[in-house]
Amino acid sequence: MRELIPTNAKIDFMGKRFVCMLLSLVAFAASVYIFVQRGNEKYGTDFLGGHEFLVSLNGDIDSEKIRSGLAAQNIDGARVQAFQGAKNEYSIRLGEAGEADAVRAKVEGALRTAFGDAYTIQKTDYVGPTVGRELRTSALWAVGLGILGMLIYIAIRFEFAVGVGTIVALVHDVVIATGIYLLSGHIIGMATLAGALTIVGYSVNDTVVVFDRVREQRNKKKGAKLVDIVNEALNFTLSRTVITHLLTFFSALALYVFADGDIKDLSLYLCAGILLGSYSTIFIVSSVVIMLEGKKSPQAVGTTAQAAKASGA
Amino acid sequence: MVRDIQQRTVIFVAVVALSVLSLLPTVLRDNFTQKWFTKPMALGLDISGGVHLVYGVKAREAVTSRLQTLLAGLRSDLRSKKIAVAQSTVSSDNSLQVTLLSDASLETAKATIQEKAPELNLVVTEMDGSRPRLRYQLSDMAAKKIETDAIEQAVETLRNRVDQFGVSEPLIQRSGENRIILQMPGVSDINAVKKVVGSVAKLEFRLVPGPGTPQGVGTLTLKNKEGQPVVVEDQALMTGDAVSDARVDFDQQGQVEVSLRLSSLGQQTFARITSENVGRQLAIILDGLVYSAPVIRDAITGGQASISGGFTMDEARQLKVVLKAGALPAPLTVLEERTVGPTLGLESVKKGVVAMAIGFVAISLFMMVYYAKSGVVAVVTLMLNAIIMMACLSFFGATLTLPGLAGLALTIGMAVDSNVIIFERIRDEIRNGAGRDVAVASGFDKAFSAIFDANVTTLLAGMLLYYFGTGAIRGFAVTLSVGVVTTVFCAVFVARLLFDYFELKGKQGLSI
Repeated sequence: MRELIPTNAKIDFMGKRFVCMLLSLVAFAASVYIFVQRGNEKYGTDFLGGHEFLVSLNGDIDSEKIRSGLAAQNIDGARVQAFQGAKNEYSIRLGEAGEADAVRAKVEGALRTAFGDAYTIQKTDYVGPTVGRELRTSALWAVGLGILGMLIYIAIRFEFAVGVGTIVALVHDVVIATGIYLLSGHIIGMATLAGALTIVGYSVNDTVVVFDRVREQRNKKKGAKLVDIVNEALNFTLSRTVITHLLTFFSALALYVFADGDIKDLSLYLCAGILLGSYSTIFIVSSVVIMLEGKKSPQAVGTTAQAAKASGA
Repeated sequence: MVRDIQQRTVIFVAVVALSVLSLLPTVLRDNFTQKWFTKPMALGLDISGGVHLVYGVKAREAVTSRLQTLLAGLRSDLRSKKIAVAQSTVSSDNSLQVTLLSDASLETAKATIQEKAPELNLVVTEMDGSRPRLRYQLSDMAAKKIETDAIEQAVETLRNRVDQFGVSEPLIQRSGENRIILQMPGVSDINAVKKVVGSVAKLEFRLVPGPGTPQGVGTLTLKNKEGQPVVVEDQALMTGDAVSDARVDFDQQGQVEVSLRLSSLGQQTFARITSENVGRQLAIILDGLVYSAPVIRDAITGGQASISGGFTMDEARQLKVVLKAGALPAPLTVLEERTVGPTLGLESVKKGVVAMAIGFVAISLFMMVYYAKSGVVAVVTLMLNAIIMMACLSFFGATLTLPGLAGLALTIGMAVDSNVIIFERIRDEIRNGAGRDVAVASGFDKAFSAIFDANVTTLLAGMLLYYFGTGAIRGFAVTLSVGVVTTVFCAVFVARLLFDYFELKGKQGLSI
């Protein structure tokens, strides 16, 4: 048997839980700050409404030249971005600016004036303001209900505390992944929604696998301390956690490196989410469960606190 | 045990055979002509390129326009009973008012309206000086019915028009309460599509008031194609429903015109209008624009009419299409429109496939190195998983989109999780001293609850994504959800079968 993780690993994960929680809190706060601070800037055309063009151009051109070419024809407020690293492909985004036909003709006119025939419009999108607002609302509903659905399922299959721990971890993963995504210059669109929900699904996967073990061990060793059982389960499932995340990460990374467009965006989000997911499975969910379960019976609190003290020392 | 294996083998072979068969048309896309139980998978717009439009139907306006038609009919009914109407209007709150010249025939008028238009409820009768004014309200239920019909009819009309366009496999679909999604693969000129598909094509015939009529009463001012104002009566005498056929023609001067053949009912109405109004001008109005206003020289009873007005050939053709396919019962607004160039999608697909292949090879190498012969079992189940997934998608008539491909890649990435969970469990059992068969059996058993729970939660996420997502995202959701089911089948059922079939002997017992 080849082994990546030694079988008899007895890493004291739970001892490090306070450091990790602090770290997570900081990252979480930073992500929320970025999210709020970006205002409507952070939304793509799908969620904000407006016009978007994907153009490819020949020759020596950069975003600034496109912007000034558009401004010369009185098209103001255009946001021009090199399209995800692809050479000479740019996305031009405009807020709601009237009839899609008229806007398209205007943009095309401006491009022709500035660059002659050296441009091709690859893709155009127009999303009306009502549709944009609706898409945004339903995206929030989707993520919200997704998380709620997980809470209910986990609470039924396991325990309420595990459900709560899972939700904390999910929110943690989604918020921080979104923060990283925004920080790397991406904007929130439909691909982000897909990424967020996939992460929700994956993240729950992990929790399920770990707590499936906890459930099993608890039945086997009645009376053992919860902290020890959780720690044991984390160690038991560690090689699975590492291997699975490594492999899923491979797939997402391959998509990120070799694909383009929305899929590239989606896979970046997933890469961030997968890493966060394995971290939160080990440190966040378990910490929350131990905290909650501990509060239930005074006896358990004592043992948990002692264990934490002992292992922290 | 032996019988059990035989049964499972039969199921396994059947599923694989069915999958391969249902994928045949997709794989042999161009060479596959025979009738088969599945069709080749349709390519999404993001791959094939094309036009995607979401229209909102202004259904409320259908109600107003229906009331206007109703009112025109009522006025003519009242006129035939020699009841003089001083004024009549339709309001946007689905009510209409009729002011009579005197109260002499008030009761007859009420009875006539009640008889001809039972869907109207008399709200109030009030006196405007010496003139009685009747106010009627259309019931909410009747209004709702008109709106629903209008949307259904709009879908039908769009379908007819799109058919005239001659695109293969267009998609016209009602969405939500009053929206219509239209997708036309392989089309790039969205302006042409919108002109033909989206124009209301509301054709009306209205009289131009004669010199004797007082200005401003019962008239409205429209524009002609040159932008000059034209005053016409506010009552449309005939609408596009009366047209049964349309074609492009040339008039005596060799100008392009669109000639109309009227339905039998239209023919009667047209004959009556023209015979009653000889010497007056009849304006032909399309979507609120006066195209021509010829003088009626004689009663026209032959059921032919024509619209001229300096058309180009293209304009005339488009007009012909929309008149033939029927008018839209209500105007449409474009809520969303997208076009994808034909080359963009193909490039993305190529890149996506390369990415998937690389991801798959990486995973396979790792599994075979790490889990040796058992790793080979995992790789075989992963490949089968991909095939069965594609087959299911093809079987259910799903469309292949880029996010769908991404979903496939990620499902394979995630499917390996189930293999890993099982293999790690088997290893645990072996470490604890279990024999080969016992280790395999209890490894699979103990791993099942984790695999089951994990996949149910992913399925939950996939379903929500399908419900709340739009277009391309739904493709992703479908693959994700289908993938969950095929994953459990492959990782649990198929892998177990392979373990039972092959000994997978390594240096020390099981090669894992």
